[in-house]
Amino acid sequence: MIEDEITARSALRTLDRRAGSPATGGRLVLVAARAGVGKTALLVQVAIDALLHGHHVLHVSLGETLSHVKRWYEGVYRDLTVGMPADAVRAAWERAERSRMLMVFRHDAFRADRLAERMRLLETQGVFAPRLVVADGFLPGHALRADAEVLGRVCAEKGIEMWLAVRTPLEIDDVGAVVDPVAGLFETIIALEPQAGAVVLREIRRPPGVPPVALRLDPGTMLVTAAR
Amino acid sequence: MELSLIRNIGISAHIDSGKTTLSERILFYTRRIRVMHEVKGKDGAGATMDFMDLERERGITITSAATHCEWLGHHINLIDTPGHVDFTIEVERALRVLDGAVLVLCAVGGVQSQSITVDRQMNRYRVPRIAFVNKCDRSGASPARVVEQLRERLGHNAVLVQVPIGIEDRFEGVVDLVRMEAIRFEGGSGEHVVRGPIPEEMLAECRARREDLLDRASLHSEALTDAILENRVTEDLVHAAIRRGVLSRALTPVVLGSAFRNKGVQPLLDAVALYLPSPLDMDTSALDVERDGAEVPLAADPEKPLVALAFKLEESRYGQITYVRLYQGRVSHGDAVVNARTGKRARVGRLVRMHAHRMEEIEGADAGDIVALFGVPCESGDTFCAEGVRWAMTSMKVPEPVMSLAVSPKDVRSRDNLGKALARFTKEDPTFRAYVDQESGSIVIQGMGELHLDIYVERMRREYGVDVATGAPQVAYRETVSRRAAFDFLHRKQTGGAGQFARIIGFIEPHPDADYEFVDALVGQTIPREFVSACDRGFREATRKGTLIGAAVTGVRVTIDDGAAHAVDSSDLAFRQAAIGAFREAYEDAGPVALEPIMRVTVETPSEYQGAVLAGLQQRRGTIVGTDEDGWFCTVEGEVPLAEMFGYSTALRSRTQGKAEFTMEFAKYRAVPAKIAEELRRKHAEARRLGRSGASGRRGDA
Repeated sequence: MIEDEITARSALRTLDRRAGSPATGGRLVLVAARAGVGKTALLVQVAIDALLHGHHVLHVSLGETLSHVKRWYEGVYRDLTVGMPADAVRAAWERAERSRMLMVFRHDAFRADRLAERMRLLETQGVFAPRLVVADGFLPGHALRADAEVLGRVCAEKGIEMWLAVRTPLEIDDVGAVVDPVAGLFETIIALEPQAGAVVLREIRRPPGVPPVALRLDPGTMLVTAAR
Repeated sequence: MELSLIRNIGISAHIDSGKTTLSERILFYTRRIRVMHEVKGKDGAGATMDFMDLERERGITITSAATHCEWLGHHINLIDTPGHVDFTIEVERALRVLDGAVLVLCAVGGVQSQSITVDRQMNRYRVPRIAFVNKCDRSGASPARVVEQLRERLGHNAVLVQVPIGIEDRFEGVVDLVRMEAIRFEGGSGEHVVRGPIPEEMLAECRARREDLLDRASLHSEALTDAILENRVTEDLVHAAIRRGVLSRALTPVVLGSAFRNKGVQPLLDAVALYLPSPLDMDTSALDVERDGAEVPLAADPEKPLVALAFKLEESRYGQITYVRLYQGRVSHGDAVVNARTGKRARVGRLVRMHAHRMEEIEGADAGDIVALFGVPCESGDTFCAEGVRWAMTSMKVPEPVMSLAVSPKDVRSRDNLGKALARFTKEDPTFRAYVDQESGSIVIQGMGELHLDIYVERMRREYGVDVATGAPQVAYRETVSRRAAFDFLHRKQTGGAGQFARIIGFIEPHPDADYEFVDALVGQTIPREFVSACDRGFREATRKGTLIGAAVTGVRVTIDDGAAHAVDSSDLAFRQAAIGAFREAYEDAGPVALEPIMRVTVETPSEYQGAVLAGLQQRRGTIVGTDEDGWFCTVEGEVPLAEMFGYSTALRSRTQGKAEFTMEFAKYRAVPAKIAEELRRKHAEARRLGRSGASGRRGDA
């Protein structure tokens, strides 16, 4: 299967366990970085990886348009499949895309309990039940804490994995300090930090007993690669 | 005519946003017409641009007629673009020849699903635009909300260049934020534009809005940025900055009004002249047919060889009218031109400038202009060139028809005229097709949706007096192959006299990028050269109707690499027959698959009905692409098989108490699920069985 070939290439494999096999117990991951560093690129890679493993993925985005999010997927998928046979690559995407649902909210129209409500509705109507949720465009502050609490409960209850991305203020260098107030709510926290021309994935928090990772985003494609 | 003063523009809008009324007012204020009517006018006259009876009756505009008017020394060619996606080809053809557009939005309804579709098309053709927020006099009007939606839903960097004076039933006029003046419209038909001071109570708001305008405009002009810092902003500097923003499609200035109440139309025309591009501002290129489609840049220069695109055909009592956009060169009465597609010469008879249904004879026209020609045979989308060059404008994307309908004439007169009607419609509209089904003998018309076909059935009746009975609309399925399969087919017949002998060896395989391709990989003369094209023709014929469900076979490549011929008994006919036989032989082994058209469906609904809408699409075998929520409203995008979309508008209405609306456009073909494929197969087998006995029955009748 071409799907295996594509996912096997990905350095996400080493990002603790199994980005492609969402944890069954339900867990919450936080990705924190400044604007333009690669949060969306990372989330989309995690999502594509899960899609190619045959899982249903819900992509939530705050303050973006549907077409913008779709273009992200097209771009990342293209970079992931460079040099592979075009027909098979296209067919794999057609299969995968049908397991993906996008949900975009205007910033002021978003509330975590509304998202939880939508997800419940989709499930009870048999429309869509994701194994992985990636949610992009959060801002730090009070609302994040409240949102994370609600979403944490949803994850635990439904046994799904959820990745949130939060944009930290430009003027603050220490990402860790920004996310500290909510750190306890997440099992894993990854900071994306620009260092010497590349973006390094630094795990601020990780589950006990899991070894640290050495990954970075390729500066050209923003794909996750092993750090040299 | 000074090129920089030409504006080729379209007015594009949601169906109820008042586009036709606006066009009418524009023609009135530019003195092209003397009286104004309303759409579905009580006086029975209808708006001038909306000249077909049928459109008048349904209150919609189908035909993209071009009309000419003048404003402040500018020559404006107004291309009327239709407002329903079932007529997408009409919209796309009109967009192709536009340099800029006015996006009309309803101050109450704002950016609706139709606007989203039209906006997507405009992006594809890189059309710069300005927005006109109409119906500011209606209850619930909120221009600020529409600007917000332009930003949020369409991603436009929209900015108000006016502020309304009063709103809803107290809407009086607008404040011009560039000149900081109030504009009111007086006289019986709002023809007197009266400028005056801004009402005291609005000054603070207007200053704030002007700040926002200057902020956004200054991003496109360093001169304006400097002027703001030095406090010496002039009107010209602001206009120039906005214009640059519009041309790079980075800024969308928004003007306001109520066409119906005769307010705000003249300042909109000012904005068209000030901000929208002239033909000089746009880069265009053509493809050189004789150099394998190599790209050739064009210049809007009358001295260079002519290149003109025929974007619209109409039948009139004086013969065929061909609307052309001149991209390069000049055309005059009596000139010889070459059709780049056919290579044939034609002589230009009369040249006219069109005003809806009236015309003005002219001697010639230059690059950049839009005019109509008489006496040049062509099809829609053809390019005319000066003798000596054969350049085609980039081929327009013509979508394949996705729905078909069997029609049969009710009486003798109808039968006689039906052919004439179909010949004309298929020539005018490349997405409309007609053919005779070989098996059932019935006439089948094909198009882009139910409404599209309905309109043509109506036009047959009104324009040609043709009454037809129609069958149930059918989805245009297709077939394709999923793997490579070889053939080695011998066609041989010995029936006394000259025999038939042909043998073809090769293979068929999937070819997702094209409908059909024929590859001649013959080495030596096993099949004589003169019979190769007969093979191609035979294969082509075989793909017209697949054996799986009787639909056209697409996405297939046929390669022949060997064969045999007989010195006496081989002929074109024999090789054609052999090709048909070879294709059928290999087809079964090539894993044929049935495909169905999938539509991209966009539903706009109040958020409370989101669940109902999602479930409704799901029930119709749809996949949900995504949802977009902005508080009260929600846009749902899904992909749904066309076969499941019958009756959707009624279902949607009842699920949402009539508060939701939807649009759909063709997205792609996809394999039919096994269970449904089986059913189609069974039906096809059944129809073939009945078809044969039916055919013999007809012969018996005769």
